[in-house]
Amino acid sequence: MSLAEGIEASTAVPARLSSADEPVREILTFAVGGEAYGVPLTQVLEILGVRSITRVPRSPPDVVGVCTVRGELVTVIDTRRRLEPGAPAAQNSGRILLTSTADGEKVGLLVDEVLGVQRFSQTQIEPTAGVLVGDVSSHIESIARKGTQVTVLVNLASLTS
Amino acid sequence: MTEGGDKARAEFLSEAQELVETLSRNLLSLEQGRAGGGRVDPEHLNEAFRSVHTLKSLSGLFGDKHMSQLSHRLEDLLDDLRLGRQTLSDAVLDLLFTSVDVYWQILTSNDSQQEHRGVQEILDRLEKLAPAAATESGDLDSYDIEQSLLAVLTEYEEHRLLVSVKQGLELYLVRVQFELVTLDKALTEIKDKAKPFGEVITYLPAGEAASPELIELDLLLASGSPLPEIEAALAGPRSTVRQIQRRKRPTRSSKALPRPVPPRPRGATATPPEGGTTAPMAPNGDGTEAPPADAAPAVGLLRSVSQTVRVDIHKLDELMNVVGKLAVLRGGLSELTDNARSDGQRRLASQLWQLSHKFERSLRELQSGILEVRMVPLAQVFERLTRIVRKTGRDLNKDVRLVVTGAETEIDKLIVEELSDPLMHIIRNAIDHGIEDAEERKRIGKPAVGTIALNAFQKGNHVVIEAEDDGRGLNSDSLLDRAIQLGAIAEHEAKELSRADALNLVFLPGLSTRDKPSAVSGRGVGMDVVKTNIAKLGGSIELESEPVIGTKITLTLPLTRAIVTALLVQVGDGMFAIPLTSISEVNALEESQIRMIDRTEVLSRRGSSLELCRLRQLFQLSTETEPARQYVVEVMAGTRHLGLVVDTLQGQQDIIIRPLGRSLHSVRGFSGASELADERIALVLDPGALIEEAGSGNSRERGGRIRVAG
Repeated sequence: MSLAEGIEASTAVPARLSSADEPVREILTFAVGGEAYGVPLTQVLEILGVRSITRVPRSPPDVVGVCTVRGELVTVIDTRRRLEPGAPAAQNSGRILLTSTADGEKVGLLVDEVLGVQRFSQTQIEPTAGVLVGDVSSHIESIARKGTQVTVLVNLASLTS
Repeated sequence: MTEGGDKARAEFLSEAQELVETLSRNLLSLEQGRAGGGRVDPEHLNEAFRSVHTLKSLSGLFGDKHMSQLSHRLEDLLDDLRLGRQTLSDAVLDLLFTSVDVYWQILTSNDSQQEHRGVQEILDRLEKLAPAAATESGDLDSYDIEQSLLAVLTEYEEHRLLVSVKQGLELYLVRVQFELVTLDKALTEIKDKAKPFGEVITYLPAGEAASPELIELDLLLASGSPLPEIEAALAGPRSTVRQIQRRKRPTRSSKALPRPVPPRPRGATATPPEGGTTAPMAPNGDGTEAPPADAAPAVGLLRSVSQTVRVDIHKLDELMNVVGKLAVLRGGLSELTDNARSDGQRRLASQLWQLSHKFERSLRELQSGILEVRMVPLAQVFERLTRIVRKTGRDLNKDVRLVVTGAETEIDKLIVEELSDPLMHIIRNAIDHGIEDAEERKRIGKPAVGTIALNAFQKGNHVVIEAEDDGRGLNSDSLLDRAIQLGAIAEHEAKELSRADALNLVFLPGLSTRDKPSAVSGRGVGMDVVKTNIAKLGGSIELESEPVIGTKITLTLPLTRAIVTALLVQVGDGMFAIPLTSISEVNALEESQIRMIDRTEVLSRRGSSLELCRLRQLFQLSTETEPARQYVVEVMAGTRHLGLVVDTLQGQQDIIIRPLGRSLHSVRGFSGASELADERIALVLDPGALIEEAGSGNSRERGGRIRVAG
C-alpha cells in the first residue's frame, strides 16, 4: 500500500485508576488551526496518514470528502471548519482520526497534527456548559488544564454528525 | 433490551414470519381447493395447524402476548376444522385470512407489548364463532376392521377414517416390513407411493417381525382405486396389500365407534398429525393418544433448521465487501503483471498473468455465489398480493382473481422487500380504478370476474414484472385535464401530446383520475410514489393502457443492487459511475445539434429532443475550459430521459455501491460511492434524482435505438 499506515490506537495503554483511586481520563490531543484539542483516546479507532480524499460535489463546506479504509467508505470532516466556520479549507495533509458514530458509521476527522496522549484527572477538567454559546459550543464538552496548557475537549458525537 | 435479546427477537420474528407465510400459503390452497370442487386436502389444514401450533410455542417462549393469544385461539379453531367439529365456511376462511393480517400487523410493529387494535377484535370474533360441526354419518361397522386397530386411532385419525368411509372409499391394510435403521426413509417412500391413490390414515406396528432388525407396520389406506391398482403400486417382496371387506350387513348395533369421543377440553394441546419424521406410535393400553404432545413440531423445527441456514442479509453485504477488497487486490496484481512485462521479465509476467486469471475466475465464482444466496423467489411478495386482491376485492365488492405466473423468478432479497409496497399500490389501483363493477362488466360483455395477471420473468440481468388488468383502461383525456388543472402542462401542449405521453402524466405527483378519493387507493398520490420507489431500486416503470381493454404496468428491475455494472465517466478531475441499467444510450456530443429552449440546452436529433445537463456546471467541477470532444450519456428513470454531458468514457466495471455518510445526506444527485479496482473512488450518480432535479424531465418516445445496456 502506497499510503502511510496508521498508528493502531488500540495498542495504547488502557485507561486505569491512579494511585489515589481518582479517575483519570486518557485524552488524545491534536492540533487544529494552532489550537490544542482532545478526544477520549478510547473513541479513536485508528490514526490514519494522509491519503487521497475524493471531494463530493455540493457537499457542505465542512466536509472534505470521502475516502476508503480497507473497503469501507469514510466521510472525512474538515475539523477546523466545523470548529471555526469560515476558516480556510483544509489542505489534504495532516492526519485523520478515525472514529465511529453511535449508528456505526465510520467518520474521519482531518486534523493538522496529532500531539500525543495526555492523562487528566477529573479536577483538571472543567465543564463548559453555559459558558459558551453558539453553534460551535455544542461541539465543545469541557476544557482540560495542566499548568498553563489548555486543551479543549470536543464532543465527538456532535462533531461527527 | 440487550443486544443478545435483540438478536434473539430478530430470529424469532424471522421464524414467525416464515410460519405465518406457511399458514397463509395453506389457507390459499384450501380456498382454491374449495373453489375448484369443494374438496379440501386435509394436508393443507394439517400444515396450517402445525404452523399455528409452532407459532404458539414460539410466541410463548418469547413472551409475545398478542401472538400467543391469537395462536392459541387459532389453534383451537384449526383443530376443530381438521377434526370435523367445525365446517370450513366462507366466514371461517375469512376469519383465518384476517388472522394472517393481524399476525403481519404484530410482526411489523416494533414493540412487542404495544396494543394492537386488531388483536382483541379477532380474539372476540374467534370466541364468538359458533361450532358448526360437519355431520358425519359414516358407519365403521360396515367394514371389517379389527377392533385392536380402531382402539388406537387418535381423534383425528378417526375423523379422517369416518370422512373416507362417508365418501365411499375402499379401505386397505398394507403390511410392510422395514429395517429399523432405514425406517424413516422407507416410511416416507411408501407414503409417497401411496399418496396418489389416497390417504394414509394411520400406521401402526403390527405382529412380530422376522428379526429384531426388522419392524412390521400396518398402513391403513383409504382410496378410491381398486385392489389390483393398489397392489401393483405398493405390493412387493416386503409388503402385502389386503382389502378391508365390507360387511353384508351390520353384525352389531350401529354404534359408529367402539368408544365414545369425548369432546376435547378447549385449550388442551392437541396432537399434531405425525409428519414423515415421527416414529410410529406405539399403541397405548388405554387407547388414548400415544405420542407426547410436542414431539412432532419439535422434530419439524429441527428439520427445517438443519436444511436451511437463515442468514442476515447484512452478513452477505459484508461478504460482498470482501469481494470488493479482493477486486482491488486483483487490480494490483494486473498492475504488477504490466510492470513485469515492461521490465522485460517475460517469464515472470506470463506466470503472473496466469495467476491473476485464475484469481479472477475464482473471484467471479465467489461473487456469483454470494449473489445467488441473496436471491429469493418473487413468490414471497406475490403471496401477500394474493391476500390483498382478496381483501380489496371484498372491500370494493368486486369479484377479482389474480393469475400469477413466474412466481419462481428470483431476485435479490433486498429488492423483494422493497417491491411489496409498489406492487400493492399497483394492484389496489387496478382493482379500484381499473376493474369495473360486475354490472358494468356484464353490460359491455366482459366476464363478470375481473382478472389481474401478474407475470414475472428474467430478461438478461433484469427481472420484469408485468401487472395487467382487464379493466376499463386509463382515460387520457381526463389525465390531460387534470395535468392542465395542476399547471403541469399548458393547454396548447396538451393538444400536441401523444397518447403514450398523456398516459405518462399519471406519474405526476398529485395527479388523480378519480373525482372522489376512495379509502382503498386514495387520491392517486400513489403512482408517482411507486415510480420513485422503483427508481430507488434502480428499476423503471412503464405503462400501457387501452380504453375498455385494460392497463398493463411493466416494472423492470435489476437482479441485484449488491453489485452493479456501471459506466465510469470522467468530468474534470472527478470520476463518476452511472449504473448501466439506467443508461439508454451514449453518443458523442454534437454542439451543432444543441438548441436553447427556455434557457435549457436541448439536443434535437432524429425528430426527438433531449434535455441536457452539463455535469461540469452542475457540480462546479473545474473552471478550465471544456475539452473539444464530449459525450452525452442518456439516462432514464421510468419514462423520463436526460442527457448527461461528460468529458470521457472510462469503460465499465462491476461496482459495490456504498451509501454516503450522514454528513452528506443533504447532497443530492448521488446514490453513493464506490471504490474502483484501482483504489480510486467514484461517486455513483443517481439518474432518478438528477432527472427529478432537471425538472420538466421531457419524456420521449422510445424507438429502435442502440442501447449500451444489455
